Amino acid sequence: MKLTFMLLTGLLLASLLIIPIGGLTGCAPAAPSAIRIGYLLGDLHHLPFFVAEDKDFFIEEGLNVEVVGPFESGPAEMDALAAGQIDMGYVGMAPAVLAAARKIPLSIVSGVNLEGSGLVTGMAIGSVAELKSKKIATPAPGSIQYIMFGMLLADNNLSFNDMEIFPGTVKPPDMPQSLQTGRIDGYFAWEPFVAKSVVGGYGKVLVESKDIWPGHPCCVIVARGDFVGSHDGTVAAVIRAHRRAIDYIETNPDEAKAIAAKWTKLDADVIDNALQRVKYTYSLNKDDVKRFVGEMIKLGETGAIKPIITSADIPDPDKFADTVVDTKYILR
Amino acid sequence: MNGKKLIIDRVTKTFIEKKGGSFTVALREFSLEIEDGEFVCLVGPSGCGKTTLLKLVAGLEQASSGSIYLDGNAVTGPGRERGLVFQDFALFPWRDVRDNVAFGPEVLKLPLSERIRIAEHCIDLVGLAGSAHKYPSELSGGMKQRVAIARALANNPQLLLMDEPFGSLDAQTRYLMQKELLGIWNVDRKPIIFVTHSVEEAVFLAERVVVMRSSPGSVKSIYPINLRYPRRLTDAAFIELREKITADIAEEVG
Amino acid sequence: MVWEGAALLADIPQLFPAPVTVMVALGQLFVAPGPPGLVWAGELMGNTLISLWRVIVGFALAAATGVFLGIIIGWWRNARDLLEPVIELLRPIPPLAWIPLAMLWFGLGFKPAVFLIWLGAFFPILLNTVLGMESTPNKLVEVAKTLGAGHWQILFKVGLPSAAPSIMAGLRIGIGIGWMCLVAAELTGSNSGLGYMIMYYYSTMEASKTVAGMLMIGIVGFLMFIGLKKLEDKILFWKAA
Repeated sequence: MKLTFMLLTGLLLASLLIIPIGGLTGCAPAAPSAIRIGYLLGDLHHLPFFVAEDKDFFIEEGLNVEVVGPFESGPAEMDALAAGQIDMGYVGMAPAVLAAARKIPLSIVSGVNLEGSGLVTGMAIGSVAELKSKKIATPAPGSIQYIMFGMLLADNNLSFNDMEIFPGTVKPPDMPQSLQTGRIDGYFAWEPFVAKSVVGGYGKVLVESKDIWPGHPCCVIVARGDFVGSHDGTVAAVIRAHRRAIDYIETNPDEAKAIAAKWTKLDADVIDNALQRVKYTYSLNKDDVKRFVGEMIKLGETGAIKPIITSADIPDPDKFADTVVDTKYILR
Repeated sequence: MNGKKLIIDRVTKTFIEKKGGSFTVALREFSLEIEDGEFVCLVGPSGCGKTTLLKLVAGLEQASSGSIYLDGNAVTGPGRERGLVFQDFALFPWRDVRDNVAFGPEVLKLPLSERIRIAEHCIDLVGLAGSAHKYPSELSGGMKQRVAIARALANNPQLLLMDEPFGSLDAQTRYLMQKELLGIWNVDRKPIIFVTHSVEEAVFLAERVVVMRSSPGSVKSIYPINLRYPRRLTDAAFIELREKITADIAEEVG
Repeated sequence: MVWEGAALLADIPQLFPAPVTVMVALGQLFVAPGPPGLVWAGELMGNTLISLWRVIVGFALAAATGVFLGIIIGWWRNARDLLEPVIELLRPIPPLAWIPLAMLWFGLGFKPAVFLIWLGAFFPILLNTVLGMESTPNKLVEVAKTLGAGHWQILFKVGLPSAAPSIMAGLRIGIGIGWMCLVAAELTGSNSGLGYMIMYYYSTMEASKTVAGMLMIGIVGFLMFIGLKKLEDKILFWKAA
């Protein structure tokens, strides 16, 4: 009797899993050029995606794009990718690398932007050394901002243990207000949440992310492992539209800003300020991924941060970068 | 005021339906006088207002017109001098027997030793010695009713009001309780107004039986019961009275 | 066993960690150094203690305010008519929705977390207390009156004891819900606690540690439930069926 019950429960659970698995192996039929793309909440870095959508670049490439999101965080978006709820996504490189490290099959197929993050503090703080025993908020531990902040501190002979860090529980949209009300003394976030404090007059950019690692990659486009294999043409089309969008932002800045305001729901002057620090580009470099992995492992080993990825997870960063980064679409 | 213990003077009670505005006259010009130490039973058809009257005397309801006097004092609200015993016992389930009985003295803020003394005295009186620490959930129906009576007595009331107190007991226990009640009454001779459906019970217990008229309720007839205690159900005089009163009530219903 | 089988079928360790890996993760978390101030307790137990403290404080506040308000609303008609609409307006709002406001009013870490837990626990305690007070059998109140009890005596000697079973049920439910609000509560700028720990490992995509944390929440919640049920049975022994 008990065995039958367990068997039935097992079957029920298994059948519940077949559905996402079926989605993964492509059992679920989809229209030839239909594709689901995810993006992150209020993230100015994803402007090319917003432009491509609003200016119909995707449609002109014969694509039927279903916009999925916005996702609250990179890991959430990667989970959705793994479960087959999206096929491609605009996401931070760090969560993408983390997902790959956790054995989720994916490929990074294009760059989206470089730089565009910063350490914002109240007006009273003059140098990184003064951050000691202060309260600093950062995005979640898996984010590039978290790692870069660790790199910055290491460069200044400090570690996360020298101050009170709030990783992940103060969301970037809430960070400017927390600084303004004095709940935190500083934060490290991506645009436009850096600009918000500056324009508001209560914060200043102590360090720009490009000063920690010039030309560092920030957001990328990822595609699910099996999807790249079976929908080569679609992926290529998405990236073509993406590149057009990047050109468009360059040549039509005012229109681009209007689209940015619509999707991020922020004021024009904040967007103006923010765009000064963001560089949109589709270029992709395996060395960047390799360096990022290296920095993460190093920071964990020196105890500056709690280890997120160890050399046991990625014994060969070179090989790892080779398998994860797929540059064929941007080279076409 | 003459020396009567309880005077119910032309009491009328009207219940007004809140929503419809219609009203029911439960009692109209009900008058009755009770002597000190008297045992009076109230009988009548269902819905004749017996319980309402009891509640009025207890002070839980207000009369629409007319007045009630106990020892010459007007009755305006509930008070310890008028003890009440319900059909469904209404014991406090979270208190044991002793604490239930001691409730009245406790309310008076008497010292603990005094409360215990009074409680144990009353518990003995109703024949429950040894059960002082039991809880109501552990007691039988008969035992519960004894606790209820003891609780009312612990307050040394001037008048005991009993609303069909043995109605939910089985026949055997009921008979036992009737005899016990008479025994308890004999000790102190407090006046008792006892409401019941059972004419036999009324004739067995009371010195006077008051038959009520119904809709609206008022006094129809009063039968003095001059039989000596303890009465025998099989007595010819007993049976005659029982038949007469039963017929009297039946007239009302018919 | 079913879990193991399902996990094998799924073959996506990220989404559905197998029980073995979760147990391993539990062990790892148990021995890893604890949060600042509680390093000796280990990561798992240290964070659990921090969360427990927050829940106990939040619950204590909810119990005090909930029972107090519940007695007033349950016993006096006027209070009920006045306060009920306000309560019915606030009650359906899920604790998660209060997060931004909580951070605005109370800042980061301990205070907003306690506030959110208070929110979760307050309503069941309040409602059960109101119900308990309202359900005081009329007969018992009448009896008390005929025994000479005054208004306040009736409240404390009849109303409250009569409402006790309901109040206790409300407390038990309240702390359960309060504990369940942990993850939401610790999203208000905490950097310690079980809820925070779960979110941390969710971000670093270490699924087995995330599930291990969830399991811990379940275990502690269960133990609290058992503990309170036993306490309830002790206090309400007179309800012997």
